[in-house]
Amino acid sequence: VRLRSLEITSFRKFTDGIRVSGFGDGLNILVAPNEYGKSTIVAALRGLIFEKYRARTEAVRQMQTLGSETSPTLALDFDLAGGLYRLEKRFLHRQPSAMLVGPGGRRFENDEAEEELQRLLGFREPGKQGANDESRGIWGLLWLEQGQSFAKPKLSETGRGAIRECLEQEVGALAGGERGTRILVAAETAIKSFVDGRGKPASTWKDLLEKIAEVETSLSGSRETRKHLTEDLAALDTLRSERQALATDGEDERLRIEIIQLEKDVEASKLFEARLGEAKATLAVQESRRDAADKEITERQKLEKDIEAAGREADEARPAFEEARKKTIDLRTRREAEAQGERTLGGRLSTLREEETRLAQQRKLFECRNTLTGFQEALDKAHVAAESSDDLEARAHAISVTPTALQELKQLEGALAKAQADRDALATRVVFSLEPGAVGHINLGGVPIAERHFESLLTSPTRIVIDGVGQIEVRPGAKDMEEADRALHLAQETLRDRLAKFGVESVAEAEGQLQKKRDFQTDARTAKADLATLTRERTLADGSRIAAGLDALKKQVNTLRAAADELEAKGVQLPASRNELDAALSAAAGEVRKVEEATSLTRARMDELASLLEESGREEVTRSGVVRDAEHRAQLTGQRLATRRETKSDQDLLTRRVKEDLDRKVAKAAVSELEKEGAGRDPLKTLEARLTRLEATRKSRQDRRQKLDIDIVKIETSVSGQQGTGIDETIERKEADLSSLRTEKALKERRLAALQLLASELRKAEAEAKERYLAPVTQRVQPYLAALLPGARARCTESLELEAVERDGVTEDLDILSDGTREQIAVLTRLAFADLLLGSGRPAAVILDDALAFSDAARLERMFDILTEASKKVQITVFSCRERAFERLGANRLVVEPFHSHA
Amino acid sequence: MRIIHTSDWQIGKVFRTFDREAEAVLQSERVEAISRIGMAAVENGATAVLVAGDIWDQAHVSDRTLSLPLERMRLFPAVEWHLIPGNHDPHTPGGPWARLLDREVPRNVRIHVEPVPVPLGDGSEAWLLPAPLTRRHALGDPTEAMDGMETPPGLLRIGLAHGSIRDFDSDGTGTRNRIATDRATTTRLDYLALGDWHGQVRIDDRTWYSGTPEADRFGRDDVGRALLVELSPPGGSSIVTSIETGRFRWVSMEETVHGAGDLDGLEAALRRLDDSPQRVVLDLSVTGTLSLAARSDFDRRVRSGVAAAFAACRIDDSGLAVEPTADDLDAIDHAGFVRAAADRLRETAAGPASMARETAALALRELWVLHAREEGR
Repeated sequence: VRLRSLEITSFRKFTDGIRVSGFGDGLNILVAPNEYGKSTIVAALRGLIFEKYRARTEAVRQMQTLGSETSPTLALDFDLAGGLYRLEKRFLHRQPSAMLVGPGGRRFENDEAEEELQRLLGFREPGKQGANDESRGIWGLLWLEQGQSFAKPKLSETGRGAIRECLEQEVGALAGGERGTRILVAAETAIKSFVDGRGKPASTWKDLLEKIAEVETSLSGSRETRKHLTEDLAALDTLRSERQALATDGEDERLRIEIIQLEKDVEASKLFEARLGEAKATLAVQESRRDAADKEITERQKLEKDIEAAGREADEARPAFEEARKKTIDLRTRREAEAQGERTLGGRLSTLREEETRLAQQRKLFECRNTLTGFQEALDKAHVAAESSDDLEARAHAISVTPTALQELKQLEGALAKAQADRDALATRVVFSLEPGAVGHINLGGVPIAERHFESLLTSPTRIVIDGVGQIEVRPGAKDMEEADRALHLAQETLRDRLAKFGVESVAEAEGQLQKKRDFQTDARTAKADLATLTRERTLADGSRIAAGLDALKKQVNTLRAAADELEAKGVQLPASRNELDAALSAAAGEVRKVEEATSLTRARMDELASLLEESGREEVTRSGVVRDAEHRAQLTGQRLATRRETKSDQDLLTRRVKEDLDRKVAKAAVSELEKEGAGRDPLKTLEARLTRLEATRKSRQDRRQKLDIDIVKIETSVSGQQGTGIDETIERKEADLSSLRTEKALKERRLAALQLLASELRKAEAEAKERYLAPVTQRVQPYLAALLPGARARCTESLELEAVERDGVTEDLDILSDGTREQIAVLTRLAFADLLLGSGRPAAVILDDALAFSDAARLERMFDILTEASKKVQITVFSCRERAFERLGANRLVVEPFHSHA
Repeated sequence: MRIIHTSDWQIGKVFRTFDREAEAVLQSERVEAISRIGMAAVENGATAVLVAGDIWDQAHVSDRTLSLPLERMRLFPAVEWHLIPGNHDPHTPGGPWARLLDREVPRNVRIHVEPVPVPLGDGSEAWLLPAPLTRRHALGDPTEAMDGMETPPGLLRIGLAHGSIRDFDSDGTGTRNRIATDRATTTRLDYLALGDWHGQVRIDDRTWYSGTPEADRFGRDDVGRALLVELSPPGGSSIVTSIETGRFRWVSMEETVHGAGDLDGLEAALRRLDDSPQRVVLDLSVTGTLSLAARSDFDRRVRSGVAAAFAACRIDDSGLAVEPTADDLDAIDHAGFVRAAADRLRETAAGPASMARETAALALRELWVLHAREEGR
């Protein structure tokens, strides 16, 4: 279908009626600003076609201009299948009407017109509520209202029906549909009873797996129990055998007899051991007695020898002691003589030192006085120089003229001279040459002229009064006079101020003052240099230093004076001559040296003697000690020997020694006899050890029996607790259960695999079938989509909605794309549907009201290309407010002009 | 003198092949068999029942399992029951016999855990030479001790032992507890009652295996039995008669089906199998190829249908292939994506044997079920 012209009268804002014309076959555009009424035009077109002329629905009532009761009247001329049609409708009229005139003048009126229109364009009669998407069918999709363009293209049922008819016309029906889907759902439901959506075991399948795990755990527990039971039974068997053996091997009785015998043996052995011990003790006593006598004899012999040796030692040491004592006495005598000599020398040296001190003090006084004179003179001069320097600096400071100030004054003087010259150049020169008698009779500016020849420069009106004659007023005419006068006055004032500031009358005086200041400064520097020289740092004859500065010098003078006064107060007299003093000092020093040398020699000798004396004393003490020791030893030893002999004489001792040796021999014979007797029997210790061992064995067997009894009871208790449960049966049972569960699991696994395969094949087949079925739609969207998004592929749902695009193997749902892209795809889809409808010989035309609002310039260009290409087959009409953006669409422009209905 | 010779009661045996319900029935019937033996003894005037080992299936059974056979034997006070341990229930420490020794057993029950000859009844006619096993796998001949067993002269000598006399089992386990073939002769036995083998076997005139009184495995197609032995005076030959004591017949059946038509035959064959199918334990193995529809029929008619007629039934249909026919597929759908998926699955299922093929075949069966459910909506 191709629209040709639309006439709108009394429709909403168009009260006066307009005609929209100039529709071309292909791409048309109406560009106008907001509020122009573009959407109203689209609404008029939709109302005209889809609303019934008689309807008084809300939608129809809204056609009226707000607040008016006029009847909206609409008319449309359009081409369809090569024929020209005219449709007219008058709504909300006393006599509402519809009229459709077709090719060859075929005319339909009112309801007939509506029916014919529905038949021609393929939409349904609207219901009582008026036209809606269902009644409009595919047109609801193709004729886009403002604001709908970027919504996902949603087909109404009737629209979908229309498209399906087209598809079935092209590829046949989508077979297997609902029933197949139910089978797929049933397969998936069956799978869900095994695994959930994430592949995790679900419901009964999960229960089965858990049951298997549970039985496995339980079975391994039971096997463990059987293992323990078997072990317990084996252990019990072993323990019982051992217990049996312990009770029946006769060992206990053997042990009993053996122990009784051993106890007897031990008693006998103990008696024997006692006898032997006694004999041995007797022998020991005898032996010790004999040994004691032997020892006494030996010790007495040794004491005698010791006494003799000590006497000999004392005799030998005595001569050496005497010699040492003599040597000591001699050395003491010599040392006393030397000490007397040293005392004499000491007295002499003391006298000489006093003389030397007196001479040194005299010399010091001399030097003090001498130095003091020089320093006092320098100090006096320094005081003068310091005062002079301060005075000069003060004077220089009192003069405020500086070189800069002088320069400034000179400049001001120059400026004044210039101002003066400038003023004088403008002034009027009055020259008087008077007769002698006239002098005093002429008065200039109130001042009588007292000379015959007189000149005056007048800068202001001045009266010349001539006595008896009258007066002449001279008025200098130069017009800049006042200015020059003011400049001169300013220059004078400025110079005067500055001169006053520096305290001078004139520039020349300022120059003289500056020169004076410089002279004062030079003199002050000279005085300071003198002062510095006088108070320089000095090094005295004794090497001490006096710091630079007046104060240091003053302090030194005072110090020197104090030192000299102190010496004089002590009675030191200033020597007559320096030379005499030096000679006396030198002689005294020579004498002192000599006495000191003599003293030193004496002391060396005394030291040597002291050392020899000490050595000799030591020797004497040593020698005397040796003699005394030996004598003392001999005496003590002699006393000890005497004491022993008093107790028992040597003869008694020897007699007793012989008797005790005889007794010892008797005791020894007794021991030997007993030892011979005991050689054949086991030692007591061996017997006792054996007895201990056998008793321990008997005890151990008792303990073992008790322990076995306890262990046996313990195991019997444990075993009897388990035996009744029938562990073998339990295990068999569980093994059977596990085997059957595993079989069930294997079967279910096979069934799950089969169901999964079935579901997968069904889904695959369904997808392929859908793809085939939807191919005509996708095929028509595809070229447009490829032009918009190169490389992208369209994917439609079975309900004929484009749901996603695939790009680079990635599927993007339409909802996640940008508004712009969604809007562009929505337009493409409509173009594709229009294509499809036209392909099936159905009418189609596309209207885009304010579409592509979200597109950027580049996309808009592509969309323009796509629209241009599509418009080769279908009429497309675009309404937009964006003049510049849509300029490049290159569409045929619609004409909107006032129109007056014939009615 | 008449005695009953039986063995291998295997009380407490677990039947892994069947569900718990069937197992309970099978287990209970083994105990019932004791009553039938007792009744046979009473009816035939036998004074003693010799049980040649394996009274219990395991060494460590529950108190109840231990008591079950004793309580049954107690019900026949006129009959003297002689029991020896076998390889399943050897006399080991803590084993069933040790436990019995610690408690009171019925007066008519004699347990023999030592290889010591004992009088049978009042000892006026016969002595029993028992060869109890003290371990599961004894390397020697348990009957060897009989050689040294002296019995009063002129009385019958009856041996009671458990073990194999030749390699019955192909896995070689039969080589243990091996009994000399000529033991009856060498030991001058008038009768040697043996246990271990579950089928009834005559070794020679005087040496017999009684077999188990209640069948417990497939492959023999016979009910459980015992032996009634009429002993002649010493040196004579005894009269040995087989008596039925079992309830269930364990039957193995292999069938091949190709197409829905064979299902009728299969069902008929199963119904013909036994007049008392409730006494049959069936092991059915089905091979062949069926369409999806027929396979569904098989499940309905055999697995869920006729199988319920038997005491217990185990069906192995792993050899039963599914081959969807054109009709199967058309039934699912003539066209459409479900049909496309079915076609693809059929292609895989017709491919070379593999896991994928098995899975595809099973998937087709699942599809058939879902389709049938849809049809039923």
